[in-house]
Amino acid sequence: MKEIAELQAMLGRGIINRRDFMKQLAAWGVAGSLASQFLGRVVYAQEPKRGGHFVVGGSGGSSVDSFDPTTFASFIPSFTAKVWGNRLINPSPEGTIEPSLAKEWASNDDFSVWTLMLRDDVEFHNGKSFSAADVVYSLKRHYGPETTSGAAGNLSDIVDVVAKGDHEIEISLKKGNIDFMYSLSDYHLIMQPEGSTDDGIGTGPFVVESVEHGVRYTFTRNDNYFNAPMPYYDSVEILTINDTTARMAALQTGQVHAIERVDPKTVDFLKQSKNVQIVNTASGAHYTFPMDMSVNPFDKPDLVMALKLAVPRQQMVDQILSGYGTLGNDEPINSAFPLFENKLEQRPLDLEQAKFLYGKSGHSGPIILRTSDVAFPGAVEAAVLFQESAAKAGITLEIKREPGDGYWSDVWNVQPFYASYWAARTTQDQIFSVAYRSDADWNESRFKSTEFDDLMFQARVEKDTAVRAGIYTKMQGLVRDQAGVIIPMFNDYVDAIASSVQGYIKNPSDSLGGHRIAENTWFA
Amino acid sequence: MSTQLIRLILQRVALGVVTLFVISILIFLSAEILPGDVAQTILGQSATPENLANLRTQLGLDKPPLQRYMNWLGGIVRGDLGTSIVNKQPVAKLIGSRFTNTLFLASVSALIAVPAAILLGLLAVRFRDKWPDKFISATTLTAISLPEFFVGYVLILFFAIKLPWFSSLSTVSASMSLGERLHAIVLPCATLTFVVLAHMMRMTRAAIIGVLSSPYIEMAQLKGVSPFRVIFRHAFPNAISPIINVVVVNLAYLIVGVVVVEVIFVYPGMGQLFVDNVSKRDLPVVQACGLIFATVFIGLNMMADVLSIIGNPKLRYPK
Repeated sequence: MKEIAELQAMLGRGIINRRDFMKQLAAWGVAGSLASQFLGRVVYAQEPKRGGHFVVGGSGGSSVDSFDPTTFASFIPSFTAKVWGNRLINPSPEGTIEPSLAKEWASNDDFSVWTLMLRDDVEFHNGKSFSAADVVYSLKRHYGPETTSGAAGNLSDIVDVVAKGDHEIEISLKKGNIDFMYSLSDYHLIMQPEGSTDDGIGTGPFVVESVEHGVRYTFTRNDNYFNAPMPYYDSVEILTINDTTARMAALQTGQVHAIERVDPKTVDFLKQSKNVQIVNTASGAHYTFPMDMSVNPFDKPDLVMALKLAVPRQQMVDQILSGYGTLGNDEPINSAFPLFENKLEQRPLDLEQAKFLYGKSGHSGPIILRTSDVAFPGAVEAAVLFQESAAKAGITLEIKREPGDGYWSDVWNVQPFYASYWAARTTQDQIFSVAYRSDADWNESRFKSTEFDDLMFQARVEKDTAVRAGIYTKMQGLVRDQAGVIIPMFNDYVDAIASSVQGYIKNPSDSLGGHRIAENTWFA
Repeated sequence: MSTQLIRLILQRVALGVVTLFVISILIFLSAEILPGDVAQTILGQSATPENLANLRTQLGLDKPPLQRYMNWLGGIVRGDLGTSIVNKQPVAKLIGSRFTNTLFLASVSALIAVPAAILLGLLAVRFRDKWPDKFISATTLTAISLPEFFVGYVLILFFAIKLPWFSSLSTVSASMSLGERLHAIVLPCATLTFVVLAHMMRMTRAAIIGVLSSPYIEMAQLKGVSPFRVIFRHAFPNAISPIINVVVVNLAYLIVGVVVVEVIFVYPGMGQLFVDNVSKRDLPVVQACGLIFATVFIGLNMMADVLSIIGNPKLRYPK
């Protein structure tokens, strides 16, 4: 009954929708008129209410942060940017995209030239009105040979961005890409007024009031926000709380109203607190163990497959993620992606077959697996689970624990076998082109397949969605069976909010409602 | 005050400056040998090779180390700590408020811990080997044996979550009044006090007990001076040198060694700044922090020497 009451509360506050509600009830064996009764008794959140001071506690903030969108790489700066700024296009709660500063868009027949119509009723915080020139300026900061932006990879196909009028722009690409608009929903692409770099002037729901990088930011409501009647809070504060325990304590004591990245190991303790609610969002984010197939011993396909079969996936989801996640199938696509077809068979834990293939590969001696706390939460424990399981198949893994400092430059994409992660990407094309295309810089396993590359370009210009979905499934199959990547699990975003926060909308693109919790929630 | 004493102090200061110079070389070298490429670390996992090359040129990392060291040292001598390579702010501005916060937390903790430790030490001597002595030693030694983060979390659990008296977040900002600031730092201050108390208290106890076996103490006792007066007036002044040394070491610790407490209580101090910048390889900030820490350490040790010399005239005449 407690679970049902919780579920009702979640539906009432809009955290889940009716369909999810009924589906979950059915899963518990509650159906028919009884289920309808439960549905009937849901108390829906009241109308949005204005006022209040909303405080968020997040990790990944440091004194070297900046409001310059080209530098964003961790939670605090990128979340903060959605408080003071907007993108042209937002990731939608359904996992697709929706208009923001761009109200509509269209392309030519081969998807190589895109025209965007911009809103003409928007003002920056400094009073300047938002126009095409600002968009051209903002986008140019993120592509081209001189940029240091994290969005550069996604925008590498842009040839030029030109203003076609005050509120219309045209983007031309090297090659057609039907999914190009998804690239514009990247979290770096915040629109700034021409000439602005790191002053935090944007079009967003709140205006920057005080700045102390790595400590706190405060904001006041933008009464001129184009997305009226939002936002509802009078003011917002963002605190950097890098320590997980400190974040959880701050939420329990009511000093903050929302925290991201709750440690799955302690989430059950937090759940006992009455004025706190766990909100987890399934996403395309996942943890990986890549193997460099260009070096010994991972150039032996049998050995690679043996390791894939020896991974205890279910145990990892249960113990590393405490159930807040789903099984991985050694390919990076799951139901959070648009056009996902659930057609591939789940790879099981098969120690017999692993043992057989390992023997066939002719390899002997220990295999070094590098891991670190920074690879992903629980990466060291996950490596140990893997080691124990592999030992049962006669494979000796030697775990080497690397210092977190320098892991991303000295181990990741350098060593042959290690733990790593990928954040959620919005489309199949994005993750495939950034990590699996033959010439991709971050192709961790050095997976080279012309068939795969051809399919990727074919999908980019395929108008028939059913055919495109089919192509993607085929590509997933290629990664699953041929690439040297073990993907044991997809991790949910596990966040927690105070019960007083109403109107929370899950968004698979990012934690805390796609980073937009400050904009669309209110206090009861 | 004799000229001899002044000469001695000047000597110490000169030695301190030389030490600082040597340390500046060490700091620069250790920043150089940190693992990982600066540009790669700043841009993180999502950097393309072009990104990296651009950033390296922007940061001047293509110049030889010796030239960079000379530039840096030249700036320091002129009072210019340089500019952060990551967020382009002047280093002095970044460090300024953080250092004030650190000094604030350290001084409040010291104001509580030092008198408390000495008083407890005196009490322990007065009731030597009786239950108050054993109780004081047992509790302070237990407190020092527990890691800081454990003490911190336990305090949060009881005094912020179970009993909502204090705040688990100690974020202080310029707009807060002194009273609000003091309230905000109660828990970190208590944690630090627990950590440094035992060391100073045990030293006080040991030093005084050492002096108590001297003949002149026996004389005082025979004359019928009250036990506490013997300890406070006759023994304590002669035991002051080793006590000052331990107190100063602990003061230095309160300033340079409190990263863990800062992280747990989200206190915006120097330690956190230092760690942030090491992990981002923001070398100008790292080097400036290192130099400040070194100055604090050398300065405090110098102070300890001088105070000991003043407190104990014997030290003025080296054999």
